[in-house]
Amino acid sequence: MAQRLESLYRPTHDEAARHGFVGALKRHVNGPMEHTLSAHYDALLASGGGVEQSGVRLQDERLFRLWASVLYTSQDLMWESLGETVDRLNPLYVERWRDLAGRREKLGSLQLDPSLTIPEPIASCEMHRQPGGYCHAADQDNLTAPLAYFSAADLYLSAKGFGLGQAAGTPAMCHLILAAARRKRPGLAPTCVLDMGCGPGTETIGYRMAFPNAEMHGVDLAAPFLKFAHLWAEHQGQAIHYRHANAADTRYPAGKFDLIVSHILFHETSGEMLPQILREAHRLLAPGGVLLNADVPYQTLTQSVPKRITNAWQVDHNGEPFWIGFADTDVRQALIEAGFEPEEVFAEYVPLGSGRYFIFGAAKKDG
Amino acid sequence: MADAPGKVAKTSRTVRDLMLSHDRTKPVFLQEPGMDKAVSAILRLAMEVSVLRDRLATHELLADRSGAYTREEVESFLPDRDEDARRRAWRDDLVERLMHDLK
Ligand SMILES: C[S@@+](CC[C@H](N)C(=O)[O-])C[C@H]1O[C@@H](n2cnc3c(N)ncnc32)[C@H](O)[C@@H]1O
Repeated sequence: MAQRLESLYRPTHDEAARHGFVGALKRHVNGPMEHTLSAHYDALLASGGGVEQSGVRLQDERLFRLWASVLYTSQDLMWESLGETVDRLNPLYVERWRDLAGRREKLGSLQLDPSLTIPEPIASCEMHRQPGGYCHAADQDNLTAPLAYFSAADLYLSAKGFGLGQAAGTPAMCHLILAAARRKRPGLAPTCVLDMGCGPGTETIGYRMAFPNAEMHGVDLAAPFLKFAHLWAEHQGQAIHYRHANAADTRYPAGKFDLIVSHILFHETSGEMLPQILREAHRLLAPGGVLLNADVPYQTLTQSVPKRITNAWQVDHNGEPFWIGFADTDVRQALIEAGFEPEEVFAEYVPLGSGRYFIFGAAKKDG
Repeated sequence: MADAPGKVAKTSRTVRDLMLSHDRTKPVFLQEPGMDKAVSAILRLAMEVSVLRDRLATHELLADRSGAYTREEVESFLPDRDEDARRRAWRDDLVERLMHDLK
């Protein structure tokens, strides 16, 4: 029997050692170095600098410049060292992908749409400076984009204190989202579930496993991600239906879903797209259904000045074009404008790792 | 057709090629000339040193467990011609990557 797809992803000894080093470097930059920046800012403020002036001066400090220089390189080293693993494994995954594409019997499905208009930033921005971006070589048999994303996810989140320390590809964040959904709807037992911006589908499988009797769907803009998601699901014996579509215009019938989820979709989308996606989610939910989104907890008003400054730097230099836009959005208001009743809307923080995470969504009124 | 700088490459390329392309040149953050490049080079070296430490630790552990060889044998080891060539190739590759950082 062919080797299991999950066990194909195995970094060599030295690759794993490089990934380990990058993790350590990133933890240092995000942890102790950022703390020192905060302390520096406090000192500037205490010496009578004033909020604005202290922020400006902080960015001129050598320590801030060094933080930026090291963070930038840590991101390069992350992509380079994961890239080594990805370049080595891509042909093996592509071979599996071709086998699957020629197979008749499938549990789930994949609908690709070569004519789909891909909006910014996904069309041309290298998100998180991922080499080639999410849609690299989208019309070819190439799984570089999902493999790179997939290998980086846990390393990247762990170094920010959000990681759950799981092997690459293990569903993790879905548990946090499901726990929140169950708090909103005790005894939640959906019959049809949608994961918006499902990416490589590693979390989508987690929802499918939590509700094995429900029909499970995922949509994303990036065709390479969906190919990987389809391959991943079929190899794990999970029936999942993937559709290449904009979450703002999915073409599913109204009221089809009773649970709609997303994980770190909204901070990667533009201010114009966000309300359109929420309106579409409202249209797709059946009465009594729940929409639950989890995303970064960097809402501007809740952030310290130094954190706002380092976040702004990530936008300028680390491929996070809509981070601030999302962080400035009043998601409650946006949900109400999308058609949800004010008393059914929620936005809150939940503890995660050494920090917290942002959960927002709404229930659709029954009947 | 070449892909535009800073835009997502349409043609299939390895991550290594994408990383080495010119549009990924590191911006200047530090004021001392060349210091950002030095930071990159030093961190790369640190990464490789860390890899070596891990690898050595693995070897020593396995050798210890199996009683395959001793520390003294390591100290007095001389590489043969093939092994020597492999090591040269590895060093050349490291120098090439380092020089890319410093360029
Ligand atoms: C950071 S990834 C998260 C992937 C996945 N949810 C996970 O947690 O691993 C964000 C995903 O959202 C997708 N995306 C962004 N905008 C979208 C839109 N308007 N419609 C559908 N997917 C979108 C991107 O292609 C990307 O796969």
